[in-house]
Amino acid sequence: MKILLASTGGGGGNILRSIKALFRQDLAIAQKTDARYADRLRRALTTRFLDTNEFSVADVPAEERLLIGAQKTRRLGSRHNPDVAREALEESRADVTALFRDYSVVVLIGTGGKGTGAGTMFPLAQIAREQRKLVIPIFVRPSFEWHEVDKRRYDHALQVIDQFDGARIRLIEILNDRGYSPAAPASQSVVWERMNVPIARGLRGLLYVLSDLSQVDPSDLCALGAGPGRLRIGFGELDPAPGGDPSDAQIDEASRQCWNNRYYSFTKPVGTTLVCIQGDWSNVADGKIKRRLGTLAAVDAEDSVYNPLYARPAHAPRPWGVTALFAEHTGIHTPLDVDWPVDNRVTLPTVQPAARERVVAAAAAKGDAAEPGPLEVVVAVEPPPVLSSFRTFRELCLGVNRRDAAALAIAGDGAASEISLDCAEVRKLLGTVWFRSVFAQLSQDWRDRILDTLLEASPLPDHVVRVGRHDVRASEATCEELKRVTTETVLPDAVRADLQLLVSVGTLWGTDAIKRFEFAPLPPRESFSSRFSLAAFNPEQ
Amino acid sequence: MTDGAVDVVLWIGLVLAVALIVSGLHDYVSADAAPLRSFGERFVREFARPLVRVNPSEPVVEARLRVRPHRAEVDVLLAPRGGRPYPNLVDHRQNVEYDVERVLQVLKDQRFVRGPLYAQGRWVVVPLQLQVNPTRGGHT
Repeated sequence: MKILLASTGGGGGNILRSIKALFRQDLAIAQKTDARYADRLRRALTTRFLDTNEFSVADVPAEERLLIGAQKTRRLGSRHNPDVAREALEESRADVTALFRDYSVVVLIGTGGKGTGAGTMFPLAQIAREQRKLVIPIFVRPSFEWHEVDKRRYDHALQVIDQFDGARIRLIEILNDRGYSPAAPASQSVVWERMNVPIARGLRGLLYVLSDLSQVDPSDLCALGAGPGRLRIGFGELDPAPGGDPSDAQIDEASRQCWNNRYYSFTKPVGTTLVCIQGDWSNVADGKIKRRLGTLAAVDAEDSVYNPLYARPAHAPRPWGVTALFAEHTGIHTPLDVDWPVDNRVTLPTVQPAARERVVAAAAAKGDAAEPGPLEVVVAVEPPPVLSSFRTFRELCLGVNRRDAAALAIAGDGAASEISLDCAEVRKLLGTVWFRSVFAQLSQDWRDRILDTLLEASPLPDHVVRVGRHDVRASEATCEELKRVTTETVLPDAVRADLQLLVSVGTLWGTDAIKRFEFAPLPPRESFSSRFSLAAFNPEQ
Repeated sequence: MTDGAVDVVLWIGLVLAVALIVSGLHDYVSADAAPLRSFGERFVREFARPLVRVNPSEPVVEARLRVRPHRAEVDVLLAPRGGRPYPNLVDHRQNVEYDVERVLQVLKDQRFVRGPLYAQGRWVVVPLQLQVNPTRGGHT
């Protein structure tokens, strides 16, 4: 998936410069460990600096600039007038439309308070929406109390935010006021840098996930961006000892750091959230991170509407940690209509390394004297045996996910593979978002084997869940009903895990596959308690 | 009736008369103070609305109202809260003046006119006067 990171105006450009510098450092690290991955990341992300003032972008490479309204502004800027900036954008609308066309996700960065950012942020977001892009606007509300702008310009910024709310476009709103502290006075440049770093760190984690569509379900992203309200990015760094898991204290600290970001305007309870975990540690640590964030979300509101979506980039370079994109819960909205690209990598031929070698054989060597001359024969050279390089099914899936040719070959066959399947491992994989794209690569043999392994877990507890006004047993609920219950209801972990297993099976193998599970009825007391707790937590009631 | 009894009756009558006068005066003053107080409260709410809140449940500025019904005046007193710098007239005079005009435009009650802003200790004082309304003659 291609992502456009575009700034508009001087303030937005400064933030983009910070992000770009950070991303370049990360790429340099990734280049050392996995050059292919670094290259893919580099190609997935494009930065563009939009401005009305030619001098503001003089330090930016020419191919990264897009000067808007050259005739209107004579390349000298919008003279701190948002109306002039809006007219400048109208003049260059065709250029901007053409720029956005090639990208699926458009991250827009701008600051209010002066001309270009305040005048163009909203129209740019509208242009992106009209083209059915997933747009993530990052808009900075300047501080007048600390003399960044005067109050009149601060109110202009508020009007821009009202426009976003009116058009029901979610945005990340950053409050510069929160960067200042009377107890620790600092200059504006220090405050801005202090605020840019968490934005850049948060975006970085998000970009790793968004750059690889296989990591996230596009429909989840459509739900995340739907409706009005605010978004908030958080990042908490985790630096465990080599080869080990982060400690509980480290996880607590990172989760809190990711959760608490006071620079954002975010007043409503946390709803749908994309949680991206980056780092080389065990699933146990992942589970602790998820639980800790879940606890923080539940503390926020009694009837929590926290709905986490998990993703895990396979190769994220250090610094590792947890990144989350939180969305304010502003009700249930129709998901965005986004024009997602077909992920061509899914249908890429599995080209083997050094697979072909030209051999010239003489016709005489074949004993065919009738052939007039030498014959060119193309011989396929078999790749070295790789079956032993994937010890577990998870390792194989990770290989498929990173388009490893050997893994793809095994995934496409499966009948002869000696990799054993473990029910617990398969259940964990089903809970990850990226497995869905891996599943598309698996042969029917593999799919049958996986389903058989899961069926070994039968019987499952026949949980009683509340669907609308009715109590329904899991064995009798449809896949859609189960999906609704798991997304709209706060459930005990064990119940959620069972229901999500059924939803995943229904989604991947079809609804008939759910019926193949055996269910064990719960004892009456437990059954009542389970139903009761679900009903009590159901936000629809 | 003895003289003593007459005195007692007179005293009771006097006390009742004073109570009635005070009560009537209070009603009179309260009736006049109500629109002043209401406008002052609306003014404070609109003034504070766009300011960034550290804690959603806490007020963003400190505010007092000084109501003088007999002169049809209400002074809105505003002061920064929680270590923040706004409002003050030392380094934010232009912003406060702009903001007061903005609030008056939003409230759209042209019966009120404002006097010049001034500082009183840490407070910014916004003097507002309710103009004479011809339809309510007698309340000058």
